[in-house]
Amino acid sequence: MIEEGKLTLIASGIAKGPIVQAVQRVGGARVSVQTMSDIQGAQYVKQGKADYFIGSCTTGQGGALSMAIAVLGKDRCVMLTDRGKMLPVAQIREKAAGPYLAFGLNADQAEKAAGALVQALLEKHHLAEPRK
Amino acid sequence: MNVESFPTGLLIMAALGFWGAILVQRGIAVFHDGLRPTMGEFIEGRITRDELARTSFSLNQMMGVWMIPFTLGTGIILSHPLLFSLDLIGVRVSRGWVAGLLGALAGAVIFLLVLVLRSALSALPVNLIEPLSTMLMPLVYAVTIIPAVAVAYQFGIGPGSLAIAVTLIAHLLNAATPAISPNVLPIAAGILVLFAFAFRAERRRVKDETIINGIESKAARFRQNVVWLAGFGALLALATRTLLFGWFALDMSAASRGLLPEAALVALTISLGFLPAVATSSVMTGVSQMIGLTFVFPVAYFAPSPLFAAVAGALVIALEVALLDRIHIALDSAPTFREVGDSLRGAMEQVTAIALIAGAFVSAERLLPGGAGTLTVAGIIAVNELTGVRIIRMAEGPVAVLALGILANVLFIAGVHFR
Repeated sequence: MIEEGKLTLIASGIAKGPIVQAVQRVGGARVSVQTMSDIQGAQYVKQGKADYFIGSCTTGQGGALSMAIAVLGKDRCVMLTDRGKMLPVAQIREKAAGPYLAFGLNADQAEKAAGALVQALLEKHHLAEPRK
Repeated sequence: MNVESFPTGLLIMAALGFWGAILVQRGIAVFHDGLRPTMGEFIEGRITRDELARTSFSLNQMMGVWMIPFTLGTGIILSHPLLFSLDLIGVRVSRGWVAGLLGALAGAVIFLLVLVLRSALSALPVNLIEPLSTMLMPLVYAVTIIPAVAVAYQFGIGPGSLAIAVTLIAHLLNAATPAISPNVLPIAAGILVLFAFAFRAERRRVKDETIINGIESKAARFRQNVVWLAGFGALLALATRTLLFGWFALDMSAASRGLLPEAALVALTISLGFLPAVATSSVMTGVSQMIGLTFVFPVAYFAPSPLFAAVAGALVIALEVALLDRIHIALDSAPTFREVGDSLRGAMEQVTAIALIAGAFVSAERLLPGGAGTLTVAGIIAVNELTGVRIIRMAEGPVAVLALGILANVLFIAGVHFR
């Protein structure tokens, strides 16, 4: 984490708005999020100015991460979609626990997927609120 | 001229299918953006044609299906059903001429299917074509607000409100000036405001970070194949200018009403939205988007005649190939403009979905007057939204109208007459 007790996230692509809303709703004060172009956002993660990049595209089949892959490398990027639909929440949690720094979403379900992703990332970094 | 223009239309569509399938077969271009990286690996010999074909099959081609109601409603064949088919043909076939023939067959079959379905559906007791066309009416006006919505999406509510006000004033001016084609000024004004804000933001951006993307340009491959690409550009522009073919529901809804200058500006808006993504992935993979950097569509709609369009279409594609590296570098060094692409496409999807839903309600009331249609459409759309958006948002309106049209016919045959 670049800031203690807080995840710094970049939202990008056509669903950047819904992603920001989901991130803030789930993460509250434990996240900071800003919108950016894909090239700038990926660069931020590479330079250590942000923890994670969340990209989006219409079909969820690659466009969301094409620039992130060029900047961060294929092994650090993962699409959270299957045939253009969001993955089940359990699989999103698995991917979030992996070595990835950039995640790709499809626009129609970006808000839902981003919410699940942020919850999982908070748990990964032990920032999640204890479950009641 | 549209799909009713038989046999010229049949020939143009077959030629488009022929040429496009060969482009895919030779690895020069594909239409599905998700297929481009895999095609890039194929032409470099890292995967086999079998693996390429499997990847193409695993991609979601539903967009092609969702676009069918628009095609039925207007008689203009939208790009997705045909060009996705050419992808599927081109990746599988190992001989160029076989791909070409199958592609021509696909073009011809789609043309004939649309022709037959349109006459069949308008011959039903309750005409199904007319409500689909009615559904597109709000979109004809709503598209003009897309650049202003993009301003709000990227720069906030304040600049967005200003952009909406400017668009509205431009619309009123346009409406008061019969010499200017409808809905042209508001789009132009919106685009100008969007770029004014983008220029300002780009100037103010802190430029301490060096932007290096590590992409090695493969644009040289485009220059080798420029004749193939330009030839397809000529066919695309010819088909578009003769109103046989359209890109999206947005440009086609204006074109189908004869508003070609509006269609041109709408297509230009979409082109600007796609430009960063298409330029980057083209340079990265060495595989072209089948429709180039997409400026062939605005140019085709602007062209004074089909023949002029064909020549201009070829020139535009050639120019795009020549300038690709420069465009790509310019966009990389100005990330604010890259983000404008995202904002425009986000605005476009939102406005299209909303306008089509509004149009669906207008159609519903005509199909089943007195509220029955309205409540059914509201139900279909709400259920889809709450159960995981199985039908993409842009297709909710069209699918609801089709379903309602079928219901109206069943009711009519069962003896329940609303009119």
